[in-house]
Amino acid sequence: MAAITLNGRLLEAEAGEKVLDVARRNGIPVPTLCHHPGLSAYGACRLCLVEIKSGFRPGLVSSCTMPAIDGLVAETESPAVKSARKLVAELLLARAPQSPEIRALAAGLGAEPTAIPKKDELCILCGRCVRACSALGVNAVSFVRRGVKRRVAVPFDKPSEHCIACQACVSVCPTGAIKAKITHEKVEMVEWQARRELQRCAVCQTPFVTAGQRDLVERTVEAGHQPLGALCPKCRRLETAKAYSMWEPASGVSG
Amino acid sequence: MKIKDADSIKRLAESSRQLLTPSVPRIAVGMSSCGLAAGAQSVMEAFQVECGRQGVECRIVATGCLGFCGAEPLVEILLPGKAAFVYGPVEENRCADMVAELREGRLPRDNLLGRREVGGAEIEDVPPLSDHPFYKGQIRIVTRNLGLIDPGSFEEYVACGGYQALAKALGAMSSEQVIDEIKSSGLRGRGGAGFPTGLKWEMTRKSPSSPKYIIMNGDEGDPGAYMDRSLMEGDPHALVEAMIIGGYAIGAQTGILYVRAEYPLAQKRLREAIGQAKEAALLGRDILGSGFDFDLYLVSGAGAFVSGEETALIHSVEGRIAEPDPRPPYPSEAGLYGQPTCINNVETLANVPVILDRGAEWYGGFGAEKSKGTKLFCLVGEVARTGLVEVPLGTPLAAIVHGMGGGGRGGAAVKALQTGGPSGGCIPSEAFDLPADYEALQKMGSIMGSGGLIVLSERTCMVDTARYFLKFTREESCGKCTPCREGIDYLSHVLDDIVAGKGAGVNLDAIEQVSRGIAAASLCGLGQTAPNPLMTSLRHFRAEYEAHVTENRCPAGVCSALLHISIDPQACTGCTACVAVCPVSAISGTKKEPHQVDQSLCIKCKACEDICRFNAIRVV
Amino acid sequence: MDSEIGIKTGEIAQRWKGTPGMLTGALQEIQETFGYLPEEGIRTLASELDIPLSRIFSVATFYSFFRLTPPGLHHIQVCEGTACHVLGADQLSAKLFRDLKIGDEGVSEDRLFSIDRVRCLGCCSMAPVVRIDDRTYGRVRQKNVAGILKPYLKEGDGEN
Repeated sequence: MAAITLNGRLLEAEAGEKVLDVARRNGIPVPTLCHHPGLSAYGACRLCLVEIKSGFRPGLVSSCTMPAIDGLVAETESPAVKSARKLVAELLLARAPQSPEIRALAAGLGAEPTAIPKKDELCILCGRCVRACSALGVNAVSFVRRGVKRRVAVPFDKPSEHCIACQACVSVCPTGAIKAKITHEKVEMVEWQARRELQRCAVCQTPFVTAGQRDLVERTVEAGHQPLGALCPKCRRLETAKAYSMWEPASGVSG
Repeated sequence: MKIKDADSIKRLAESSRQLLTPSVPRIAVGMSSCGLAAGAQSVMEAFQVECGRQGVECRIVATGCLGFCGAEPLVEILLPGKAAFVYGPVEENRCADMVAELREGRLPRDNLLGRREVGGAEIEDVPPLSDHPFYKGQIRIVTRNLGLIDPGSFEEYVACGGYQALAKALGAMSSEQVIDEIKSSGLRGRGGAGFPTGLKWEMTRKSPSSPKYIIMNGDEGDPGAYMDRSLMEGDPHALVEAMIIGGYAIGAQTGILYVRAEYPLAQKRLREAIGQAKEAALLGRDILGSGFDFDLYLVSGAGAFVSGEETALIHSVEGRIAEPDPRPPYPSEAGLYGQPTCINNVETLANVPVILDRGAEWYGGFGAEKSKGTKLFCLVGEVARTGLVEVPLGTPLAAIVHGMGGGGRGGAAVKALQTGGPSGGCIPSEAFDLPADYEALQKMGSIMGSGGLIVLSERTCMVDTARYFLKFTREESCGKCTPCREGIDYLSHVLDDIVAGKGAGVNLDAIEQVSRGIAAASLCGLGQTAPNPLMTSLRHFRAEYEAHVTENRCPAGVCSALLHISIDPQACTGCTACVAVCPVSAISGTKKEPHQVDQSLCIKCKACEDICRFNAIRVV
Repeated sequence: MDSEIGIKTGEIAQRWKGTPGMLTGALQEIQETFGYLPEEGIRTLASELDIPLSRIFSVATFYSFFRLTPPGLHHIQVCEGTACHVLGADQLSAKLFRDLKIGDEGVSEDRLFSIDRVRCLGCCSMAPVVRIDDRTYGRVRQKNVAGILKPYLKEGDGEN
């Protein structure tokens, strides 16, 4: 069992834990943007920086990627950490001045609008959507170009044939930069130029799932289980309950 | 021909020696990229035609670069029983005369730079090349074969003692002994950071997982640096040999030569060398009967400066975008395809065969206390003699710039030296007594980097130079982390504003603070060092910034928006040459009388300054 | 897939499959073959190498050597290295853009020339350096530009 020192407190770390995990488990607040517990660590936004004092090369590192090495001593609120986070927040605020999430984050870190020219973006290039799409094996979106010209897009900026309109990207995006238009009949992923009809439930005939989403679920379900993709969540619950005979009252039971 | 053991290498060396010292004159033309840019191809063809036409029997070969790039095209003529004579620059139209002189038994004298000893009779009145001011003080260890051998010839490399270090390593040394030898030589990485090479090898060897990989980092991206290109183009087999030795030392059976796309000739020469080594059975299974298997692949970059960063380079080889990863894990633990990987710079590797050949103790005799051996520098920019120099580490910068380089170009006063490219900084001329080693340069806020030395003179604007580098890193940033992507973009635009005369509201202190923040918070070395050119020039040349910001003036006469171009009526002869080249017809006047520039039309392209033969164009 | 692009790309993919650096290697060969990376080539490569299309597109737009549009008949590379910059590469490329009437998209109207400003070509002692197709020219001044371009212009006239 490894132990690290954060802000003077000696804390136990489990195998494979990152410094960020240890901090959060112990109630030490560390701001993050590109980090998501369900996705691989990326270390890009630089908000979760902490200052290593000893036990590794001293200086600022991203706590979401830094392994909790035994004997590590780090600070999460040192002057160097605070000023670096403030700069990052100022830069993000200039990039996405309209985003309420970024404004709240900046305010919390003491960052105010500066001389840095405003860009009026919503996407802050944290890459959560790209990682989510890749983790699902869909790979519809990726980063294109580089540096300041970097953005998230579908190949050739043409209507995506790979997007299954599962909206995983929408749910992991921290700034609401990805839009899905959902109607009774279909889902439209605006940025990825993908329109997908909703397939109907085999029982109640209500449209509820895109074909790609259904296929993905069926592929990932363990062999031997009943295919789940044909039924809407409500009918599936009823079917499941029926299978376990919790549905019809047993004949021998009296009120 | 397959080479099965150490003895057959020695035999091949013996039998190939006549290639280097044939019984007829040997004319070697420097045909690296820089030589080719200077017209070496036509020079070589002219020699071939003339020797045929005049009936002079010669062996004409293409070699790598002798280093004195400012005097390209360079030609070496080796006369049997005498010495080798080095000429430069050799123009195409001189070749006929030179061949005629050889036919008549006379030594060509025009543009003769010096002689190189080959153990023959001396010609007293020709000084040795090492006495030429450009070569004086240089030691040729890494560049030992450059310009001497035909890089396309396996036999010539073997004739110079090539592959004997490999035979020694595989035949008489364990992997650990090879690592110990490199460790005790004191060799440090020549790519910039100066990490001890032997230690890097040992860490990769001791990493528990296998297979392991060794990669040569030939992504020499620093603008103004071409040491590695010269080595890859001029002595490719030395790198192939070093990679096999490195693979043996760390326990890797696969090696990768990663070479940037901008270097097509280096890629071609290395591919040829791999092919020849394979044919000689020096790559493949059971090399020299040692039981050691090793294969080598060439992977081309595709145009990204950040690929030089180790984790980004690994992604590039894997067919991904060159985005760096935070460390740990280090490549020595989890690198290419997640396996232990050792990445060495080209120049570092070029040291390996000679260290094994002559021993760590011999090698440690060169250089400084903490920086052993030699370092290659590319001396370019506003300097009188440009070229590739190899000096012992610790040589004072003044000896390089003023001694070998001969000071400013056209007598201009040297103002500063930019080292380490976009990751480095400038060193003012007052500090030129500084020794060129890792620690001294770092103390100045710069870095050794890969070895580009760009001389900046009174005609160079420090603000414009900083703007150039920030624009470079802005375009080369991968865009992954916030401080580098957004911060460098901001700094770059501030500098654009300053040189465009729109810097009135710029707060230099605030700029410095943002620079420090980017350096501290960025993910990889590119972002962490990107503000260096700005921070160092602000430190040493703040007055130049202030002149731009507060007086709207560029003291060096470079920033076009702040310039005023006029014609000196005293000097102008009215030749009308400038009228003809002005793209916007801003110059007018009567023939044979002084001309004038219409300021409302002038776009400050300086085409007039370029063409004027009477030095009549004033730029202030 | 039956088109020339599809067939040639398929052959290239098979040659590179399974070797280190296969994706960038194959992309480079496709670009050498067609002068740029045609969309169909990228799509074919994705299915042949079994790599997601989005990843190949990401790579193709990340590295500056790849181009997604056809170049001119003659491709000019103006070196932007430090030594070249200090000796006037900016003015030189401005002149080339001006004289050859090349806009921001980098290709002249008659498609005879295209220009890229490229990273250091490593011929710093010959600065400023310009490469046209496979030929490298050193110590190029504004006044030499017309002479250097002449042979390429002539060839173009013949074809027009």
